[in-house]
Amino acid sequence: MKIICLVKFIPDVENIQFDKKKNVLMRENAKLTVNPDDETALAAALKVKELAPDTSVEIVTMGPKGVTRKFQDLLRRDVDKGILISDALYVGSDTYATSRILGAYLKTQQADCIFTGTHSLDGDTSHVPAQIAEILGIPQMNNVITLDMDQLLQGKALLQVNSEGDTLHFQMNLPGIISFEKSREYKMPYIRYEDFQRDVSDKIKIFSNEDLQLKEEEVGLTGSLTEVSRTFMKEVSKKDSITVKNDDEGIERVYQFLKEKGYL
Amino acid sequence: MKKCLIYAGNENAKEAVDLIEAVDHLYGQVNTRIYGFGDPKVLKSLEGYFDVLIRDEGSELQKNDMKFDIINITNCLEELYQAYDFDSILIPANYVGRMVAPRLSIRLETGLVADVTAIESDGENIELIRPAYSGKLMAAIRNRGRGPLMMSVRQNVFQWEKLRVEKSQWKKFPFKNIEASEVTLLWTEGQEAMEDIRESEILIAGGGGTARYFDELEDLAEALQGRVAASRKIIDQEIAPRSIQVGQSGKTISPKLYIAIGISGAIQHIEGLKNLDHLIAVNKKRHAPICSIADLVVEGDGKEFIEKLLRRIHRKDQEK
Repeated sequence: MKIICLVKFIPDVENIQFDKKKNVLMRENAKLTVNPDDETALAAALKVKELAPDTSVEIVTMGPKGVTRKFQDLLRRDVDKGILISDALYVGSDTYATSRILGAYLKTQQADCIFTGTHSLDGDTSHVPAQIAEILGIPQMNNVITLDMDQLLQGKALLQVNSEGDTLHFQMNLPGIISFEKSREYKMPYIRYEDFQRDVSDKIKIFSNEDLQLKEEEVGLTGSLTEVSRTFMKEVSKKDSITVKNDDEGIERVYQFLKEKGYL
Repeated sequence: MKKCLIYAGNENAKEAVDLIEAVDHLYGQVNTRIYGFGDPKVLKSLEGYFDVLIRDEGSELQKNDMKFDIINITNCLEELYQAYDFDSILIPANYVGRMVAPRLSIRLETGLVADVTAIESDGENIELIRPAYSGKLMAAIRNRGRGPLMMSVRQNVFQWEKLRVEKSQWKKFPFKNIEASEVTLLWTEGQEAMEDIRESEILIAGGGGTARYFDELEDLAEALQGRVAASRKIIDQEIAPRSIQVGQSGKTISPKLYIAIGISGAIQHIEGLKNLDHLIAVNKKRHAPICSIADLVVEGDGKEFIEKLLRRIHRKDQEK
């Protein structure tokens, strides 16, 4: 079985700094991490491989070459191959253009299934998995929390999905895209001690537009069908709050407030 | 005249009706014609709100199986676009909508904006506003494609009540491109469905500060006949299920009363609060961001607050 995992490296959203004068995020200094949902997807793929060692797991990511070091860390697990799609032409691609680029690579591959995350913490549109599925003409499901591994190895995708609090069980035809949400069900294996420094450069292949042969007007800012016209920080309209302490007097104030407004 | 399609997918008609406010922001005074398509049961409750309601005629459409059939829903919406040439297509950002919208954008070769929270428009130049980076930043986005303007919108972000037309026009549409379904729903476990925090008028929400006593929020919720909600920190620690998460990555809520305990109020959380009547913030730090939008700030420990307030409420009950 061949599984392709799509992984995105994102800036550490919690600790990202904001340049208030220029109104932009200081992305350059931000640490890169693997998007949590994508990490779950990769962990699930490695779980399949653990059960069926002849499974081939390939990771595909798109981004600047600067992600190579982080990418190598992923490849030090039991991953067969890593594809880094990187080209100056691709900078500034919106979700539409990004899906076209990833789709162009995936069209050349024969995978039994593609694993992805559902949301990314930075963009958080969830567009790319469904868009790629559309380009490839295959089914796709979001928010997968568990996948029946034994059935998968029999060629059948039984998915347990979290849909706004309900748990839904689906059967999906393969090939298809299974988009996970972050869960503890699948944990990334640690890198074995002897593999910490292992040279994995032979596992990485870089694909540029020379390989994918997309037209310049289809990718990057020119190929994007949406554009960010401006960014700003949201101003929160402040209220004249009354502050009380957590003492008898304060509690009485809260109690009276709740009563006045009809909550008690 | 502008033609808009609103997809009324699941069983919640209000979600589709509320998108009329978004159309109103898009085109203002310009004459609009709003079309609705979706689950036949939902369509019935859209009578009087939408100009045109479309139901299928004589096609292979298996209505009951359509609910999660993303590819066939996309096929139908594409056919409708080819027939009516809509100026805009609005899709609720629920579980199904979030998979349908991106597929449709590829089919129609048009830009798509997810989770729109505001619209700035003079009728022609339209900017769709959405949060990015967990709501740390807002981005204004324009459509550059030639296709229709497409967006997905989360529940409760826009609101619409009034009827627009005396009688909706019902149209029968013979859908042609229905394929065998690639996905089958086997069964559903819906025990949490009844506890939708979006339907509650009183919410007691706990943040990172309540991790060690989160269960106790339930006692206060019970005394006030409300429900418990949580911020992302609590969900990430797996103390509570994602279905009760408030914020940009959770749900947008509009209760009358919101009591935020141990929640600092990062923008990503505030983004999930719409049209609250009253907000009480309980926090050890009186300068936490949430305190600046609260009616009443209680400076102190949340656990102590819950216990003291419960005692005060119960004392009153005994006096009765």
